[in-house]
Amino acid sequence: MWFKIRAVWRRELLDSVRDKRTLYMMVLLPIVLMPGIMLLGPVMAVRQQESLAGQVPVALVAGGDQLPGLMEWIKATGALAIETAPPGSGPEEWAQRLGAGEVQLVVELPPDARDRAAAEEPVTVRVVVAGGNPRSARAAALWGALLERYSREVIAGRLQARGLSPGLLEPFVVEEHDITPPAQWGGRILGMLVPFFIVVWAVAGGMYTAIDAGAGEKERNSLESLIMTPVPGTVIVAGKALAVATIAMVAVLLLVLSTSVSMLYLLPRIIGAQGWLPVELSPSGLLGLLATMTLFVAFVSAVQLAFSVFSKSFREAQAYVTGLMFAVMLPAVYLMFVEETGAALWMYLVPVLNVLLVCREVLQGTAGLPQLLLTLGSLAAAAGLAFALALRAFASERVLFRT
Amino acid sequence: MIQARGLEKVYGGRPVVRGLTFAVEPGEVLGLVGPNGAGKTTTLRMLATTLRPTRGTATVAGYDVVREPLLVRAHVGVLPTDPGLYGRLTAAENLRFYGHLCGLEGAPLERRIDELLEWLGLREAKHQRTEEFSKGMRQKLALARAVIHDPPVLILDEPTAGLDVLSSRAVIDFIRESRQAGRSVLFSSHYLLEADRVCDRIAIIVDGEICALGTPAEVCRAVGAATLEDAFAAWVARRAPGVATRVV
Repeated sequence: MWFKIRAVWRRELLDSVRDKRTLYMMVLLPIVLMPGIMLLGPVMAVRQQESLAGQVPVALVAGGDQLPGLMEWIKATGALAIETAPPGSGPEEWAQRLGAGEVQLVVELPPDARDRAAAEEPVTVRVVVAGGNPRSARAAALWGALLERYSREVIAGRLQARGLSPGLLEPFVVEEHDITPPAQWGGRILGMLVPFFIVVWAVAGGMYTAIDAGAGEKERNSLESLIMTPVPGTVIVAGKALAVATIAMVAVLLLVLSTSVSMLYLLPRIIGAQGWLPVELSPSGLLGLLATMTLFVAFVSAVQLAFSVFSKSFREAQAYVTGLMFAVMLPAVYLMFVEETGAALWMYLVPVLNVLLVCREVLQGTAGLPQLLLTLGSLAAAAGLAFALALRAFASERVLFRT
Repeated sequence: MIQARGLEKVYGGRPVVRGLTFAVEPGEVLGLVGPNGAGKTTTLRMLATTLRPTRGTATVAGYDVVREPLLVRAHVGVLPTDPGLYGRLTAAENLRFYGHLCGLEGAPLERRIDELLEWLGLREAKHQRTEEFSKGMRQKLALARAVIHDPPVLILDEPTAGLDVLSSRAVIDFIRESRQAGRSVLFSSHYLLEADRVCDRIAIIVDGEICALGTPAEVCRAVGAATLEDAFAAWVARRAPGVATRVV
């Protein structure tokens, strides 16, 4: 029996690896495109940061002579260049220059700023910003931060002049300590992405093999010849499901591998760090992760095969499998609103949701054995049920000759 | 040999094949001829065990098509209407796959593949993907696939449909050689000239029922026709006048 299962499996694999669509989904997307997509954002963000950091924003200040101390203090930081508004110019001209990008910020100090500061009364500073322009928004944020720091110095001076401690205005000082060991950071980052990729790629990776193995065989009329061979339907379906699962598993593993390299090695380099971001993954955790992935891939492959055999054409099967892909994304969205730990036990009985939870917990080092066992049991039952469904579709002459 | 007794198939309450009874002896070629939709393919599929008869029974090579489908399949070679080959696989890979499913492997299988490809004139195309094959080459390879396990019974559905003269000739030669090898051959066709050339007996099937069964000469004589084509038209006119008008 195994000899014939292997024959069907090998034939499906050979056919699949000669199919450009499968190679694209199995190899090209996971290895090249997905890491590219993942790293594009950080690369662009770093470049933008570097580009902005290289240019000191210019603030056009009107009425700066009212508070020369503040102006000197800001100039001394070197973070913001100050350009004094020419005499006779007005808000309209300043706004024009701001809009044209000649300056990144317009600051107006009131004519009585010096008097109000001397009287220790609040001075209203009007800031005009081009919000749609990131450089202008950054200049405004910078101005705000600098002014806050300067305000603290002013307050401290006033309190000291009255013989009071600046600590009076700061009853609490917060010191935050993160107990997460540095070795868990890699796992935390992977835990955010890898589970989602596993569930999506379990569907996408073997999609074309599954469609080809059922609806494709019907469409090119090879299924009839296949079922006329002296082989039980169980053997044919097992060989086909195994082939779909093999292709999907390779695709999932390649994607996990490329994501790990991208997130743990390439991303730190992009943001200026050296070496690998460490991941703490125990052998039992790795085993649990692989078992979860394998059972989930087996489940999804059997479901896809059942859809494919049931469909009368390649296109119909493609529509069903695309629907399945969106269906597995839903639990991922739901999971975004569930606390990282403390998910209810019933969630580990729901295929897809349990995979997302367990994979995340294993990678983040918080997985529990009962949850893992519930997940594996639920996935094994679901895979068995899906296989029975595929077998039932394959045994029905109304389905097989539904063209 | 093939023995069908009262074979019937009903689809959604509509009878497609009605009480067919016939036999094909070893070394005999029986042609199942009839207009489109007469029930030829359904009959062949029931004998090949891909469809389950609604009523009646049949044995192929001594095995019951309902109770022993795997044994039937092990003793029958089937050529469906469409060759249905795997285009991304070579000729040898296609045959090797079916050989494995029939329980063959190793050197005997490789020898059988070479022998069949040589016999059907496909030796040069052994390592060529079948998606590059002409229709005639595909049909020849499908015939090779049908006999990879050297079955005593052959069931061929429209084996020459859409083929050019030379390819049709090769298929006819194949059927004749199979008869000489002692195989029971049942094939469906609506090419009457071809059926006349190769069949020992002919069964004319109309509306799912056999209305004439005998040697080509007997079938003609029974309605006083000079040719098989005239006989066919006469039999169809008797059984289903509307269909006869369309075919004649």
